Amino acid sequence: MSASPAAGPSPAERSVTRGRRAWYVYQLRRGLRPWQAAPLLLLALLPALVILVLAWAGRIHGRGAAAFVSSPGFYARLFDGLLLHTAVFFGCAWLFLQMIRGELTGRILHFAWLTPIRRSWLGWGKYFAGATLALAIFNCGTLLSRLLLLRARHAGLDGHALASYLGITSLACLGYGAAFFYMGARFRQPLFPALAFLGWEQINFLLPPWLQRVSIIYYLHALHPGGIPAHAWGFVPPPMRAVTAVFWLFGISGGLAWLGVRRFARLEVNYGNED
Amino acid sequence: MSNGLDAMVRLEAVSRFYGDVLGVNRISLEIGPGITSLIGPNGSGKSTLMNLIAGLIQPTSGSIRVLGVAPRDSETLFPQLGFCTQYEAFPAGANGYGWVRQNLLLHGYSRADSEAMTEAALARVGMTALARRKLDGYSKGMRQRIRLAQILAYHPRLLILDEPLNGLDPLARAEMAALFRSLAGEGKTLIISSHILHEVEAMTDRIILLRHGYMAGEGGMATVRDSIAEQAPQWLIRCSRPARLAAMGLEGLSPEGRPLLQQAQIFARPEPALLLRTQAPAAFFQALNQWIAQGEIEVETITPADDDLNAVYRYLIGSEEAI
Repeated sequence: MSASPAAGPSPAERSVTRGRRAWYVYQLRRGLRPWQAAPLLLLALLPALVILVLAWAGRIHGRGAAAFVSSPGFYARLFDGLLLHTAVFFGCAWLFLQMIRGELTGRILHFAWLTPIRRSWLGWGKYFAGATLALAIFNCGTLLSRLLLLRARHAGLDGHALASYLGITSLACLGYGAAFFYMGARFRQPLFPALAFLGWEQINFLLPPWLQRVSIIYYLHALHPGGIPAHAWGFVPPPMRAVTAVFWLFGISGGLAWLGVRRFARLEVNYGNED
Repeated sequence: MSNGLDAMVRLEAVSRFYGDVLGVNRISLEIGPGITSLIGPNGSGKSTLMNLIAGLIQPTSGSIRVLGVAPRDSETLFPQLGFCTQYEAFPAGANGYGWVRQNLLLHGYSRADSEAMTEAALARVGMTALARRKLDGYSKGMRQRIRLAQILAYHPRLLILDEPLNGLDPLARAEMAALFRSLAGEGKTLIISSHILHEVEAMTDRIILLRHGYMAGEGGMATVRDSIAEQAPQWLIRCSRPARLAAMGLEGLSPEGRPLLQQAQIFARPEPALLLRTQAPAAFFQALNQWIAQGEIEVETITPADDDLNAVYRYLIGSEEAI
């Protein structure tokens, strides 16, 4: 009986895998260029900066500011307003809209199209590289702000709450990243759809509950460990189980990313002056 | 080319429109090993045709096979196809060496192989000494070379080069032309577009003439010229009495009753000469022999005046574009 060939990928398959990995790493490196990463870092540090400033103000001006930091809904509001609505939202817009649209305006998309990597893989590689960067940067922001808050309150580490906030940040990065990735692939001028999306996410609490579901922030709110303090006006949505919210967030993120990859794979290099 | 068996590129009735604007229309052709040049003025569809072959854009209608596969089959096609586009841009901040090496990594080569292949490709295009500089600071010629190095590095069978001689000084053009000939000698297929006609002429095996998105002619230089039946060949005759020769030629008729000459232009300097067009060259030269024998004129030289690519180009495209 002859020996069967050794199991494992062929040289050609290994080459394809190496190429895909190189593409992912290349996208990560592009995202980490200083001018690209600096705005993300600044946005991620916003909540921590606010806590630092309030803690410093409390030390200088007395109990008012310190009490504010210690109030029960403070971090939930800070996390929701500054991290989710501002840092993650605008950070993902900055990162993901440029991933495709930036290459078209920079007239370098054809370099990707001429590599022996399937276009759908190129698209997924871009999305996952962007998601990796967003997760790393904004989770650091969440972690830092949470630790600073606990220090300001002289409180111990609450593992469950910390894990929840990190999980929400991660899901927000995946969801907003996918939404902006799709917009970058779909629209020649994605700024206007992005602004419309911003408005929709911001006024989500004003919408009737059935419309609130057509968003990302609705499901993120459902995961808040202490709940989001209700607005004085607006509709209060019925509570949702965390597992359902996570399911929906993965579904929306996956669906939008898939649409974005599909659209990206069909893009043509038409920078406008072919002769 | 007539033998479809060794066609590297095959287009069948390919059209591409940009909205209402025609890119190329109903192009059918086959391209085999050697150097094929795409010639045409701006807007003729050269780059559109190249982008279609490389799959950067899709045809509105028709079908394209490159090395036996559809252009969208990246994993099969692009290890064997290298395309130097007309686009000038590079990612910001990259240097020449890193850019060539990065492309090899994306082609699935190991880091060590990529470095060795990068060095070899840079040496082949004469960019070793300048490769560590930022691409932003490169001259146009250096960018051309680094783009060429990028595709030469992985030894593709088919190279598509959009205006590869653009921006190069005469010496560099000659070097590149020699490089292209050497690549063709290795059995590779090169498709080159250019406006630098005399340099293309020196290296090309076959030309494809494009005009307003249509193929105006294709084949070897002589084939293209002959295919334009209505276009009479042109000859330059240095002789003692060009005016007399012109008169006799314009008055004379061939056995079929056609005029011996369609057009004649007399030159007095630097030497007396006659530039003429004839659609009946056999009859004209038979008559010319008689006139020489009768002592009507003395002929010093007879030269085909249009047997170069520039003349063919003028026939088909228009003299204002010829160089």
